[in-house]
Formats: sequence, C-alpha cells, structure tokens
Amino acid sequence: MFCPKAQATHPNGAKPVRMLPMTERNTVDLAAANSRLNQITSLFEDNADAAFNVAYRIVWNRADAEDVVQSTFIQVYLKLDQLQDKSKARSWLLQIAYRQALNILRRRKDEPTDPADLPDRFTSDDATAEPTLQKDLRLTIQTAIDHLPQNLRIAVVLRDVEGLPMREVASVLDIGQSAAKMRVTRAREQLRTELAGLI
Amino acid sequence: MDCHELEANLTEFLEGELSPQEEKAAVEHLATCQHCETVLAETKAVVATAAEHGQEELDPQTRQRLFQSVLDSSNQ
Repeated sequence: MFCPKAQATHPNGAKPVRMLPMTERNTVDLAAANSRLNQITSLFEDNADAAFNVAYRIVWNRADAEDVVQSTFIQVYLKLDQLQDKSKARSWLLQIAYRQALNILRRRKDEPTDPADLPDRFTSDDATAEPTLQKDLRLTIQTAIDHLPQNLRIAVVLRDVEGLPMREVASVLDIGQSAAKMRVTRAREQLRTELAGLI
Repeated sequence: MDCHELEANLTEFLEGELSPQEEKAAVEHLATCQHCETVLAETKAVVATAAEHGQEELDPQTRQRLFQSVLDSSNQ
C-alpha cells in the first residue's frame, strides 16, 4: 500500500528521512477509513435527492430540507457499521431523513407547515431548458402530490417517486405493510381524481 | 370479479400480489369493463408520471456543499 510518510524527504531536501514502516494497525485503520469514505460517497450520490425529496415534502422549506439531508448523512456516516444488509441502505437512510424531518416539524411553532400556506412553491430549475410540456407535467404532478394529506403524500413519494418496495415503505414509516399499501392506494386514488384528464 | 372487488384489489394487481386465480379473474373483468379499464389506465399513468416527474432535486452546488459539510462534520 502507498504510504506517503515512508517516501518523505527532509524539509531541506537532504537525504530521505528514514521512516518507520507503517504498522499493520495503521494500514487497517487507513483501509477502514477509505472504505467508509467510499461507502458514504456512494450512499450520498445515490440517495441525497431522495432524502431531500422526502424531507421537503414534510418541512416545505428548502433550507430545512437541506439541513435534514446533512444531518441524515452525518448520522449515516457515524452508523455505517450498523448497516448489515446493504440492500436496505436506501430505506434505512430514508427512515432517518423521515424522522429528522418530523422532528423539525414538531419543533415549529409559527411557521407554515402545509404547502397551501406557502406563498410560492419551490422550483429549483426554472432556468433549465426543460421543455414546457415536461415542465407543466412536472408541476402538475408535484402540485397534486403536495395537496395530499401528509401520511398519504409520504407513502406515495416513497413508493411511486422513489420506487421503494411496499415492505420498505412500511419500514420507513414504521407501520405495517397492509397500512402502507392502504396509504399508497388512497394516495393514488386522490391523485387520479385530481389529475383526471390532465395526464 | 366485479368492479368493487377489482378496485379494492387494484394495488395488489399492480404489485403482482394477486394469486394466479385472482389475477385471471381481474384480467377477465378488465377485458369486459370499460370503467375498470379506465381506472387501471389512469392509475398506471399516475404511477408513471409520479416516477418520472415527482422528484424534487438538489442543485449540483448544494449537493456538493452538503456532501462537504457531511465529511467535515463526520471527521471532527
């Protein structure tokens, strides 16, 4: 393994400084640190948008949703050793994000907590070259999702937007699978009614 | 299977969770019921549209800033 200290030279450019070889312990520590860095990088790349998506649909505030993403991944980084089943990483971290967002909501006293109370809906990419039809479709579905009650909204975001299997939706929400299915069903029914003739 | 039963089992039908017999009955009902066929098509459209257009995304600069903060906080 490459060891920078072993190849170091004296600051005045004289003879190479003779360094002690890296111990086995140091090698293991460095490998573990690199492994954790690779894991958190990969998890962040794959799931940061999903965590933001879930958080934003609860807190309705971009800054707070970003705070949720940050605190979620700090927790994930610190608890990486607890992640035994890599295939459940997405639902595991989305559950952390979901709980963090709910905590923010509970702490609020006088800020709007419902999209209907907000003056303007957040749109992050108005400057992009997205075709008008696509943009209209996106705003239409997102506004319809916004109008759902929170328990239905998060369930359908997890299942249909983020693509989690129903059992993982249940796990994130800490409810039974049949209850999760019921929420997704009711959310789809309401969306279908609201979007009739539009999509 | 009638209209009420089909709508009650629509999610299971879409999730592929019905038994072979139930699925066969659902397919047979759908072939003869315009109302349920429309409900199914609209529900599929909702699911597809939500999957394709329903996500709020972080802009690249914010992603990078948040990731750096995660690393900085985790290494303290």
